[in-house]
Amino acid sequence: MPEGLNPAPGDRARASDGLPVVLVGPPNVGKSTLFQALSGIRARIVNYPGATVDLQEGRWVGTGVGEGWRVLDTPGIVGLEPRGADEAVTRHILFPAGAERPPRVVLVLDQTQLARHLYLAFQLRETGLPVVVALTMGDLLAEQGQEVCRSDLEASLRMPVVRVDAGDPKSLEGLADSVAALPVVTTSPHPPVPWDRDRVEAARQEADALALQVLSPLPRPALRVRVPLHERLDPWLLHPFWGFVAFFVAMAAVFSAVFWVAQPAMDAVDATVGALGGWLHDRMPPGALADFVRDGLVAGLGSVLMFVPQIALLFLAMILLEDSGYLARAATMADRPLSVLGLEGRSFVPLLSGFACAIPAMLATRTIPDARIRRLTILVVPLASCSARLPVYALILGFLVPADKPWLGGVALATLYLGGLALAALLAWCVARTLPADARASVPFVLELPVYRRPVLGRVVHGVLLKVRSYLEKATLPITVVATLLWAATYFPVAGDDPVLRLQGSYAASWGQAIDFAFAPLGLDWRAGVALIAAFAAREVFVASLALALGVTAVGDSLQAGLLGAMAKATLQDGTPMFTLASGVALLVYFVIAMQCASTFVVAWRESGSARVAWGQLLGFNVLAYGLAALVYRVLA
Amino acid sequence: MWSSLNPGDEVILTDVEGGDSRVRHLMELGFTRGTRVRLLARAPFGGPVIVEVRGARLAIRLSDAACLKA
Repeated sequence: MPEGLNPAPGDRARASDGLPVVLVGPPNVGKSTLFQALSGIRARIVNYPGATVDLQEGRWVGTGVGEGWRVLDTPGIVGLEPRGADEAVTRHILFPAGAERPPRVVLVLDQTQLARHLYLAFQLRETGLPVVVALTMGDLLAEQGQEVCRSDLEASLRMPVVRVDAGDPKSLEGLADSVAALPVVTTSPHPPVPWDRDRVEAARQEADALALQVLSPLPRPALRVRVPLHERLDPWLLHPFWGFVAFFVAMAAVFSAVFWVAQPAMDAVDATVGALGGWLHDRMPPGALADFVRDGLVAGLGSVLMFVPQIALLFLAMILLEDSGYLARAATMADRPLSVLGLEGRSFVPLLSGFACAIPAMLATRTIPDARIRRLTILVVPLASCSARLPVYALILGFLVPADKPWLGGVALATLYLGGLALAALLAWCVARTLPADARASVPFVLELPVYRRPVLGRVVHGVLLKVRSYLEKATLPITVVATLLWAATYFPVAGDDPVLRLQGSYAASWGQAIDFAFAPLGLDWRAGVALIAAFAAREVFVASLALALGVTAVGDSLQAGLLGAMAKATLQDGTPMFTLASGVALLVYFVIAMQCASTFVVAWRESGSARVAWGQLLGFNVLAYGLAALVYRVLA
Repeated sequence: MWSSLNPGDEVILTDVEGGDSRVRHLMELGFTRGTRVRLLARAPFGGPVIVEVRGARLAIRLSDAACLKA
């Protein structure tokens, strides 16, 4: 421990002061891995007060002195001058406005990149924040036949330095001891004055010199000198031809996993929920309550649960791509084509995430430093078909595509996704044209390509669980509420046993008929219309709502099968079938384009800081969707 | 300069040019005078070049790489 720092007694009491231990570090140093090792599986995504941002917060687990501390993970930073919204968040956490005391900081540094990463340590040293330096990747450094002299580094930095290994609880206890021993800083921390270029250059040279000084060869030489994986892979994965082949294979793998692998699991969930609803219904006294439990409550919850396999798989694929190191390569490959559209390489990850859900995708735009490019990315993200649209596509394609030609469904599905992307590209290109071509952004496009790593199972599983839980927390309540309201609207006021008569006399029918004219241009009547309106709560509600509106109850049968049968029988008032090729395709076109998600609207507004972006999506996309769908129906009918 | 280099070629930076914040950013990333930079690969269609600097691999657009003089 450096001189002059005495352990504060009674640190457990300080743990309750509410100030978190903040993990800070450059990108790709193993910060999140360390965070997960510290906080176990109980971490959650939190909104940090004052900054509208999703962060991971957890409680320090284990038996050491740190048990129970709040731990906060932060976006990676190169220096303390923020260059994008995510880096600004880190700065905001380190220097909270109006706070009496600074948070305790764990600066995570990759030992194999010491010369580069010490720069951040120098910057933090000037701020007076209480900092412990945690060195990661010791095993990699040992493989290279080197080690860091901890005490030399400690003396030079005037900060405590510990080696950590996420897999070694002892090292984490050591980290906790060092954090507990940090001096109590009672002055409010000050954000540093930006360094000028001479200062930056001097600090860089100092970092080079210090890294050289503290690194020494191990007594025994490197086990074996390996050509690093990136030396061998990058020439291929960034190759003008093979790079694109790899890119498309990776994307195809993601999508086939989501569409084909998830399907059996989704069917199983659907059937189980259907059976559960029927089982409950049979054990309750007949009447409105029993009907509500089966057709409203359980069916509504079922439509939430049905997506869990798909969402889990999509995020699994995303996390695997990211953790392996490939995602940064894909973004590099995509930079040139995206820059033609007014976007950049870092827009690629949000667009890809958009296929899972627009909300995390919009949060992912924070890595884009240029505010204009970021806003443009947010604008077009909802045109990437999110997973909530998939059940709608699956239902309508299931209806349109003959059972003996399943490949046709796959082709049609790919067309829908590519169509959404093409529209996103066109929109981005058009909007970028209208923007003033002022001086080029002062932020250069530089992307760090991490080393390739084998994803760690525990970390991947944890990430997927976190996303699934976040989805369930967000979706369950609104979908249940909408399902309940819809059920009531389609159930009352007519009493009786005949579901068809009951539906035709229901509130939903009378309200729906009043706006029937709005759906006629799409070849639909009020029943599909009710489902379309209900889809504004969440797109996936469409399926459950259509089932309710068509009077399908899932008695011992899966909802999907019953619904397909009902769709085939449904007729318009003139007796012609409602669901035809023309109206089906029109519906698909509508869903590809329409912005129907209230949460997305809120997040778009917040993240872009622009009401025009949010309203533009809500009004513009929906008007365009309706217009194009009506046009398609006219042409096909 | 960067468009005429081949993968594997190494240069030593003599200067970093451009606006103040741009230069600072590039320097923070490790592009300082006297630094050895190796070209690793080029993304297709005039996309970013991938360089190795101080043991890290960075993708940098050609227009930004133009600030780096050797």
